[in-house]
Amino acid sequence: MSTPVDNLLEINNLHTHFFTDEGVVKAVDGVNLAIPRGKTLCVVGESGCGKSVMARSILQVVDRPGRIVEGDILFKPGAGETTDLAKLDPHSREIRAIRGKDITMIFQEPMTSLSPLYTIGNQIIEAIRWHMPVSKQEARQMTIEALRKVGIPRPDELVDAYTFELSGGMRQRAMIAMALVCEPKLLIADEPTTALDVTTQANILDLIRELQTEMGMSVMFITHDLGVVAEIADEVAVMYLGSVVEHGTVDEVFTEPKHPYTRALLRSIPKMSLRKKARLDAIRGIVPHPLNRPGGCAFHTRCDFAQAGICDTLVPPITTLASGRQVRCLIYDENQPVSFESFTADDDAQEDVQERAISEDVMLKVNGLKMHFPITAGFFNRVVGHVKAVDGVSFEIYEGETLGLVGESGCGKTTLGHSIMRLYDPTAGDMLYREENGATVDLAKLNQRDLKRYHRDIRMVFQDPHSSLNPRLPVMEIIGESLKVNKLAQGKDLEKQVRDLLERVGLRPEYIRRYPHAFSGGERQRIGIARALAPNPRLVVADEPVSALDVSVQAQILNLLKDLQAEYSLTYLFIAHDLSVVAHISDRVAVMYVGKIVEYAPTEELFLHPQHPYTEALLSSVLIPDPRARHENRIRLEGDVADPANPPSGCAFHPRCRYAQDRCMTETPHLRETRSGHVTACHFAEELELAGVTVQDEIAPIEST
Amino acid sequence: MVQYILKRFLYMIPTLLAVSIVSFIIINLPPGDFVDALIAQRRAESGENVTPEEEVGLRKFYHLDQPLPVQYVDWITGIILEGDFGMSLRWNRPVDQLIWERLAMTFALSLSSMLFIWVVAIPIGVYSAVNQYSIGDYLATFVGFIGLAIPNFLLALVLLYISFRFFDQSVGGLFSPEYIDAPWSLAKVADLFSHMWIPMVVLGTAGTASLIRTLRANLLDELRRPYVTTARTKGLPEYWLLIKYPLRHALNPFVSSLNDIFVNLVSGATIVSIVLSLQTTGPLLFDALRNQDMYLAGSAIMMLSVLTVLGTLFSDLLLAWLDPRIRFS
Repeated sequence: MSTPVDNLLEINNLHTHFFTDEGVVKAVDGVNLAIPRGKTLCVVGESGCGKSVMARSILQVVDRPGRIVEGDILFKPGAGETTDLAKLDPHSREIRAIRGKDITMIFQEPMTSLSPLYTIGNQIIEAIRWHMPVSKQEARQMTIEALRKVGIPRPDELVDAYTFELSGGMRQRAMIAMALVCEPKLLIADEPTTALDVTTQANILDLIRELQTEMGMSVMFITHDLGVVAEIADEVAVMYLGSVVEHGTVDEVFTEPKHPYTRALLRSIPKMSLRKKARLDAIRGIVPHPLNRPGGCAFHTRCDFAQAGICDTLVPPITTLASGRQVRCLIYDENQPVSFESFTADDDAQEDVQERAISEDVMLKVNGLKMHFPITAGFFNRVVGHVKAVDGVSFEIYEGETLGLVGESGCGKTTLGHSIMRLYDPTAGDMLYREENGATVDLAKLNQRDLKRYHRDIRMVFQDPHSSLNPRLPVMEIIGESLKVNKLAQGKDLEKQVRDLLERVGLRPEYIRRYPHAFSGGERQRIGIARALAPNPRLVVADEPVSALDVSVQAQILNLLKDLQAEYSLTYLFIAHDLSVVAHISDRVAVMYVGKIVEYAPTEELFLHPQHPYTEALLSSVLIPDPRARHENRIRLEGDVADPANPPSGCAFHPRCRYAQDRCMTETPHLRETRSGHVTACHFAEELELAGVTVQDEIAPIEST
Repeated sequence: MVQYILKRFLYMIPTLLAVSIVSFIIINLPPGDFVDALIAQRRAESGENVTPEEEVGLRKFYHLDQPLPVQYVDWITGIILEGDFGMSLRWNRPVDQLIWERLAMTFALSLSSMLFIWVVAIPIGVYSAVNQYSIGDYLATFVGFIGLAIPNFLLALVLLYISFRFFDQSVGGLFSPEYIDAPWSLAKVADLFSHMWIPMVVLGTAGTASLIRTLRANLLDELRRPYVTTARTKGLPEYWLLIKYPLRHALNPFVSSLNDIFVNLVSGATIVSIVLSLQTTGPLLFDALRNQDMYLAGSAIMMLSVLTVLGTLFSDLLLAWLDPRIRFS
């Protein structure tokens, strides 16, 4: 693909295996990869494909019981110098001199990747002092300089801050400062933005790109998010079950994916498209556990084009195509009679969504809802203030619709969801719920006993499928609980209903006696959905139901939610921070900022004609999985969501708003209709010309080969 | 922080008051009182009988004829106003004299056995965790479990035998007979240390074994944390990053259990102390409870509670000093 001279690092036939009691887990099984000098290589794939283990193998920091069993990792820092990192002892002085100096790493969760017991300065200074002969004072100065470079405000003060005193974005910046302070030649970034908000993610990606240009280093960027790949990659390597299945430049891979897995991944992401698609093209099943690696081509069990007798028996070799791209698929092996029919078929060929009937009836009318949490301090726990998590929110949900609720973390979305579930007693406001028979009841005023029957009507799906299921209860109990408590079913009938529910959400009814640990993340989320659906609810509050899942699984769950909605005429309140997902599933969208709704409109209207600067900034930070849609003049939203205990005067968004004027600091804007069917809380909504999304339908369709 | 400490001290008052009332009541719960115990003892020892008049006189003498609340108020006001814990009925000496005398010895013993535990257990625990499932780990586990399984008093007896048989030392106690009443001198201190090792080892083994197991488990959890990998990717040598990151994190549970030492000062290791005839507070309290020596028992329990509460505060403050997350919350 490129002449070997250009490469900073070359990985040849790398095998990293874990020797466990169950057997040898071949996490990395024959990876060939090269990182060109000064470029960004993105490694993409679902979780469980060995991306992280491969990256950790480079520095030999694979956790026990894993170790490199075969292969070379040739590191070429300068002309004529070559070190085979795979041959070094993991504890040796040689590899320690490279770690933290020539090759550094940053990780996904900056909260757990930095120790909370030491200041960030302490942890950065330490890295400097192990590699450079400088005094403590000089190292401290270098640290402050590095923190300034990554955009941490007041670096001379924050150098003495602990990780928990910083926001997620600031922590990741500190982590980056630590990785870059010794000016490495290669930065390995392992999902560094996955745990961050979209706005913060955009800023961190900008930062990495800027620093890369400035310092001329190479970057290996591991991610499962194709939007991120499209945004920053020069080259892309797609990994599946321990080996690279496709490698090419970012434009080649996105416009003309050669491997069925790459193609399937690309098709499973919700696009910023206004043509409503009924379903996403989810990849079938899940990544098999490496212990049960399928024979032949590892992907054949999930491949739409697999041909029996060939793909399940022959291991595909690496084929180098004319353009220099590499791909591991039998179709490109001239000796094999495999062919894809319709591989390049236009993916717009799917049916458009049928219009669901959304009734004119309001199912839930929330009016001036406030949820304030007291802050206590001092000797007698006096109340010294309130966290105004939800501060005067009004909206309606119509029967049968999906209302999307978006905003950065800390803006009160989840508290609003929990308030509707009446997990709290609201401070003020009412929530008028219209029952099936037309009677209206104010949920905000009911006591716990009277609420019980509404807990059947209104149900919740939680974000984290791992912690939201009781690990000590079998599926039968988890799903059946609400039926039993509400005396809706018992005995044989109960079991039958649970079995039906399992089938409805796409799980095998035989799993009824299993415990949550026996399921994958996506399957657990299905169990969570079945639990929500058990008492036949009308309204489902889904709080970030897909944000903890892989793209392929995310597509499966979104499809499931849509199917169930059509089948059981459900109404959804869909809380999410991923705007592409919200655009895909919602009929209308509400944008929240610091406890208030700032904009509220039908999905298409909101995405094309945002009226609030906050919405514009959110839309601008969405990464579209198409390298041609990269834009340079992305709106950067600096700083963090304002503290809901002490919101700024006037419009809470004004300190971060690029259009703010004097009036915004003093006068609080109220929601008003600024376009037809479109309400906004901004003084200048009509005057501002805000940019909506670049609709992907307008980008040239993928060319067929 | 100052406010926090002040608050904690204020909270101590009602706690201790409640403890004093409850313990006073419990001590008086068994049928009979100190005079009954005294009479029974005299009868057993010398066969002499006590006339009912004498009995009344004795009760009056010891203020046991008063109703229980009055006795309690007398006792507690004495403590608060004059620092007078009352007289031990059995020893006929002020309670505080009796307790202080033994407290110093108990403290020395607790501290030395704790140091023994830490010095032995921490390196072994770290080794076990870092080399999980190695021969050394299995060996440490095996020895540890044996230490846990052997009753302390049995170990005490065995060590007593060994020290008598092979080192020609007097049996039991913390001093050789010739030093018991001697004034303090270097020779007496040396004598103390030559006797101290038996209780130190006896009290230490069980603690060492459990500390090795807990430290191993804690450390195994911490070793898998992302910040350890981060430290490794910075190029730190293994021993240094081990001490600075996971070990420091894994030590929190031990700091929070430091208050145990204070509790052990009074109540700990009673059986071992009896077997080894150590002049510590454990056997004193045990004796007082058997004889219904209510002021001595009550005061010992009070001191136990004060030390527990203070010990908890001490370990909380130490935790806050060690862990910024606690300090800042």
